[in-house]
Amino acid sequence: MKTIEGLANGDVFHPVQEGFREKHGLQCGYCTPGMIMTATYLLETNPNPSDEEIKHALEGNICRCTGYVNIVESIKWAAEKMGGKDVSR
Amino acid sequence: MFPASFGYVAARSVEEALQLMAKHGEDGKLLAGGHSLIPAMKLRLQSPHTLIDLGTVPGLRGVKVDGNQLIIGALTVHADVAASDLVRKHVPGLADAASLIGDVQVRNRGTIGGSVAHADPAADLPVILTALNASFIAQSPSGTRTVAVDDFFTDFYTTAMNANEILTEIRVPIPASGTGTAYAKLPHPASGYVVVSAAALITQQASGTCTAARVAIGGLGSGPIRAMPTEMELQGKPLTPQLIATAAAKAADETDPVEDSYSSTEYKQHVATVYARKAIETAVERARN
Repeated sequence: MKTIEGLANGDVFHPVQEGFREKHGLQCGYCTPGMIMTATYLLETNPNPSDEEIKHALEGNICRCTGYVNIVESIKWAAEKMGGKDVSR
Repeated sequence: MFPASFGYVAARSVEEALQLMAKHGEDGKLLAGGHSLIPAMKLRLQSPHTLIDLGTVPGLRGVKVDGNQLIIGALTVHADVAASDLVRKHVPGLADAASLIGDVQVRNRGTIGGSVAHADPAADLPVILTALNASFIAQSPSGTRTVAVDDFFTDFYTTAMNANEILTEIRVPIPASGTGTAYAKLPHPASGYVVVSAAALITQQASGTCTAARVAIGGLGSGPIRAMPTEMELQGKPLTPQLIATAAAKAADETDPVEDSYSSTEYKQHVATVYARKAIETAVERARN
């Protein structure tokens, strides 16, 4: 089982983590591990998701500060960065 | 939010699980995906002495075709039902319903057999399986029997299964050509459970005449309800938008849903007519393609 602790490769963030930083996908960070792990799972199974598919995948993860727009943007940024490739170790 | 202490046994076969059920009796409880049972245990609504895990039984997971039926193993998780090419091809309404259950985590663990056997009145699968005229294979020490969906859901959280039976398969007839299936749901905004949902199976001739219709509604009673007045309205008539609207308007006739903190009786009945129309329209559209 992989958790947020095991996602980065040493000091190098996973593209989904980078995306959340680049696109301001978090504020308080409480929901972020769940959002990032769910998004990583999504991109492993569907490398080029539509906005609708991202929103469907995130259902059940509740954010109360950032809002979902930037989170969807973060995941799209990561999908582009990953270029359809699986970058998991 | 901690369950009472309990024992755990991993069954290796259906036969062994049946023996364990006989041994533990009322103190034993079957565990499938655990997405209804474990929360109930955490709330101490259930305090089984021993959990008998079916997740370790080989052969209960997956979708296959046998003759003119789809055979879905009881331990098949919702995500696999939603993604199954066979399900999407033959009964897309079932894929719709499975993809609308809970969230990713629930769909990756929760099982079709667990959901059906739990018979939650706000669950998705009983509604679509009613429209699809599914049947259920129950195995006991004395053999197996088949229960039709119309006889299966008998009350709130209650099915026609006996205490010494295990649900092993869900069988869905592969619809005749010219048939469309669909599911539409109004989820509760917090829980994702059904407020009201509707499922439809519609068969039409090339001329556009409806030759078979099964329409089921969820959220209005102790389990799925066949919308007989809607079905009778559709039967044998050309499937025009006006006919669909007229038929859907009867979807909540003969129902008496109980008001709750989220929705009134009138609201549920009205929403049922709206979602029945959505489901029928989508089913008709799919029947034409």
